[in-house]
Amino acid sequence: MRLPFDTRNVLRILRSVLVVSILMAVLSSYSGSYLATYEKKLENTPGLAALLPVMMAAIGAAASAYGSRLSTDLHLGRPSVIRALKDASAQFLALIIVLGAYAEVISLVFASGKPGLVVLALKTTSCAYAVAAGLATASVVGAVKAGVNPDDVVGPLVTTVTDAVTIILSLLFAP
Amino acid sequence: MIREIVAALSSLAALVALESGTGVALELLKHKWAQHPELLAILPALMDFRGNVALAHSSRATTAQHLGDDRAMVDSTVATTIACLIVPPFIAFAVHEMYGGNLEELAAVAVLTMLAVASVVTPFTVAVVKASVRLGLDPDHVAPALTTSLSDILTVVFTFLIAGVIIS
Repeated sequence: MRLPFDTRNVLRILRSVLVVSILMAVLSSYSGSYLATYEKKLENTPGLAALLPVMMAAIGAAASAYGSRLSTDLHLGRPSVIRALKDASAQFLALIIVLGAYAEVISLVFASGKPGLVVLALKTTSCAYAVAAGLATASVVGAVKAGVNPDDVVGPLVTTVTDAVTIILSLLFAP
Repeated sequence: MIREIVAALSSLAALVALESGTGVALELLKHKWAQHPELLAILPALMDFRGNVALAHSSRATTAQHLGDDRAMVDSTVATTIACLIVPPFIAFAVHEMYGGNLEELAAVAVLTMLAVASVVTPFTVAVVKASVRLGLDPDHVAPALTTSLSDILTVVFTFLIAGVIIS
């Protein structure tokens, strides 16, 4: 019987997906365990649970976008510190505006408009993005030096580490 | 500089709008994870895995669409489904070792959640890619954001729904 798919191609995809997925899953399990250990803080800070996944996704996406542009510049043989700083700053400003506004809305809906949630979002975003952008820069440069395509490495690495850093910092900054 | 900020603002605003569903679902399900914190421990790993798999599948599906290779799209769908069977037990084991909880229950919740999410998101990804092309849109710009956001929301909702049945 002829299968409707190519077994060799499926195995090739699985080989490339499984190693990275399992490694990243173990890293994420650490941040999940940290989150569950400090579950009371999350429970007692109204709106934090609504804020956390959005901060994780947005900071990871901003740092990945910056890393992707840096990687393109290196591929094209036109690395520029000024352009990298401009890209990183543009992503940071956009993050602060969007996450500040989202935190304000969440604060109004779930925390009776108390300003604490907005301050927490801005502090966490600033610190986590600094780590994420630094990691994106280091991983792009490191991947190029190691002869690996940075496009295959930067996204999963930056988003997974950013998730962990965002969880840890937001719980540290929560009252 | 202004152009870069505006471009970043528009894509991040769309992402936040899509991801807000995940945040609100998590906030509204607070009472459930307060009783079973091990579900909170497993959630970031499940979301991260599902997001990475959805992103890779949507990327392969758009490439297959551009090349007119439907068989490659089916291969990617099959590989994604198999990955959703293989990786979740590793996640359950890692969470069990680092945090605790009942290993069998965690593994069952992880596998069933990932299969339930995959059964919705994997065909959805193919549909989005094909619909984008018909509407004259570049699927590379549409599919990744939609599929990863849908994956995140469904992972949160299905984790608690399935855990409600499995964990006594």
